[in-house]
Amino acid sequence: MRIDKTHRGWAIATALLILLATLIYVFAISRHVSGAFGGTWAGLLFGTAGLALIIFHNLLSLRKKFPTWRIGRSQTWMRAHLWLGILLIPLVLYHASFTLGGGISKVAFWLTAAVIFSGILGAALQHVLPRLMTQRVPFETIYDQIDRVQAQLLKEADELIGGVESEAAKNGLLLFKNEGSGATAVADPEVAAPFAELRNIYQGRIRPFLQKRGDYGNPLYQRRNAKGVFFRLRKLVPAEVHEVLDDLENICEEKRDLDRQSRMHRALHAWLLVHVPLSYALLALVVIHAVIALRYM
Amino acid sequence: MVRRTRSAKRLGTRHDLNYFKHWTAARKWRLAVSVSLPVVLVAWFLTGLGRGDSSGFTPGPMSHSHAFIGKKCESCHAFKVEGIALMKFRKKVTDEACLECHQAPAHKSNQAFTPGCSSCHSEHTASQDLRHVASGNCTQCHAAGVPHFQPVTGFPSKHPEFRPLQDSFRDPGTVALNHTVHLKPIQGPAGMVQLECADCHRTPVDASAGWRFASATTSPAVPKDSPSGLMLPVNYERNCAACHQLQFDSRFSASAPHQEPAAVRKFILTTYREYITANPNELRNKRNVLRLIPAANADPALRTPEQFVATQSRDAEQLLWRKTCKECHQIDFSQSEQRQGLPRVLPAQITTKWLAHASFDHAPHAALSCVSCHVKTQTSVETSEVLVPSIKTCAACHKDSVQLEGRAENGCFECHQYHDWSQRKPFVGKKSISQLAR
Repeated sequence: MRIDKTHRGWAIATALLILLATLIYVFAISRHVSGAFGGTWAGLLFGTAGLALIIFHNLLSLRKKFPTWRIGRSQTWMRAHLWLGILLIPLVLYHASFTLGGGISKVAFWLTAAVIFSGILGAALQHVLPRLMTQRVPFETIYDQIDRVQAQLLKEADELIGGVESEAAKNGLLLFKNEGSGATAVADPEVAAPFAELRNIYQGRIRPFLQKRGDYGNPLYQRRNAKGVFFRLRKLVPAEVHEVLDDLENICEEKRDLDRQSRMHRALHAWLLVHVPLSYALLALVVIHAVIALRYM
Repeated sequence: MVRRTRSAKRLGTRHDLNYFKHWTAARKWRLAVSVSLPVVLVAWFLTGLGRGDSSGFTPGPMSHSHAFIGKKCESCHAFKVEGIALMKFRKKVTDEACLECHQAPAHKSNQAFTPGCSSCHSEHTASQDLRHVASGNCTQCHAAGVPHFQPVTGFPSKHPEFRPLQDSFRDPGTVALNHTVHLKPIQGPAGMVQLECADCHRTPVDASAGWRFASATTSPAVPKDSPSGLMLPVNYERNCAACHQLQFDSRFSASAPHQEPAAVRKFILTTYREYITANPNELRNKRNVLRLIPAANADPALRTPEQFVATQSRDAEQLLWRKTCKECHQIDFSQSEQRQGLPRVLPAQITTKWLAHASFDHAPHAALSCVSCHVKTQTSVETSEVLVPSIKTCAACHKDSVQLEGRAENGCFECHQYHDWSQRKPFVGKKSISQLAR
């Protein structure tokens, strides 16, 4: 979610709530005479508000599961999640009166810190990366479909190379025969050699690149190197094949975009692997903490 | 040549329209971790609880003194408050639970309210000593000022100066002592000596070590009820006798006893009687007129032993009352006629505990030289001067919480007691070892 001026209301409301919480804390701590703060009226107030917020934040995943439910717009939920998440920081600190406590309290405190930190990191990434992806990945597709699209790109490339060979056969020219992974020219070497080189480069570099997700070691992974490879191929093969090479180059370009998209998508969503599980763990612990605290208070 | 076509129709076939029904690896991972992590964490804590280890659920470590009952929550967390059963769910800490093991005399009979034990003594906090209560517990009443006490809201800046240093308070002691003279090289029993503070002032803990200027014949016992952290009162036999001998006649090496005038008179009479019995020729000797004794009679005729004893003892007493004793003590001659000519020595009134409502222990301060705190001692010439250090001296170290490096604790508990331990009663415990220990 992009944080822009439409968030101003939420930002102001959050700032006011933090100010209010701070005033309550300062007042309460000036009246507080000893010991743990969590069990005082103010400590309970902060603790209850914090627990309510944690429950609310965890409900976001439920909201996403049922997008058609009429319980507020998704955007509103996201904004509330983002800004009220920041409010959780002072509430937890004030509830604990800047101490760690022990056992569950300590673990819950560090979980809260990790969840909030990962959330802030995620918000920052989501603020920057989607725009960057739009700029740098023109052939962006649905992330979950990348493997499928990549397979189709490979199929298209195979068809293009196959087309070149069948076109030659149509003209009565057996260019080469396959021998293992390489190809040997059987026609006039002067005519067939460039095609054999094309075939070898395709089998040895282009096809593995299109087949494997990422393939960081392949020269085609870098755009500059890829240009060099295709420039050399163009010099080898007759001008009639140049259009096919253009198509192959475009397919490689599209594959590079998919790789780039994969990379950016992982950066954009990896934090969720920390944020979401820790949020559930935090919810479980704070509920236990609340029950135990109320029992023994 | 076959060319690549990017028609909308072809692009449309690229995607699986039901892709959202299939779970990606990332989504599966997220679900697995989201379920397993909370389960593992909760299981971890519950397993600890199952093993009887409740430390995972406590808000903080137990204090040192209660750590041994740390696994028996029910020792303090009871189901009843003042005999009334709580809801089964609640397990509140009650005063009754504390008083089963502890005695806690009230503070003052007229105190505004009696706080619950746990409102001052906070368990499960970082504090290792439950006696270290927050000053706010005290200042919630004392900030406004209570009868006979000035308002106190903190230490040192918001604490009144120690009472002995306020206004025109004077040392009530009647034994004359000039500290300045005694801290310079002075004539000792065998030449010049330099007195140390510890020659006269020591706590009971250090009293057993030899005293440099004690009496050669008697050594007074240390009173059993002496506060261990305070200086013993200065004592003649222990501190003064070696220099300030109570000789009354050059013919006798023995000094008069440092006792009441009647006992001194008895000692003198006995000494002279024994002397004249042993030395009858003394009756023919003239009196030593060189002895300048106030109010002495210049009567040289000593015909009988009785006359000798009477005259000699009278002169000796005058020497003692009007010179030797008077050097240190205040002597009252006003009613001597009714007291058979004996004066009254005013009580010494040596103050042992200067801060009546506070406790002080010299032991933790042993690293300091005496004069670094008792600064005025070096220039004190009058007995009536109070040499207790000012609150500013304490504040040089005791200016903040002990948690801060370079500062000593400044909480009220450091010097004051809430419970009036003079009200202590015999206490009979009710718990068995198995009820507490595990």
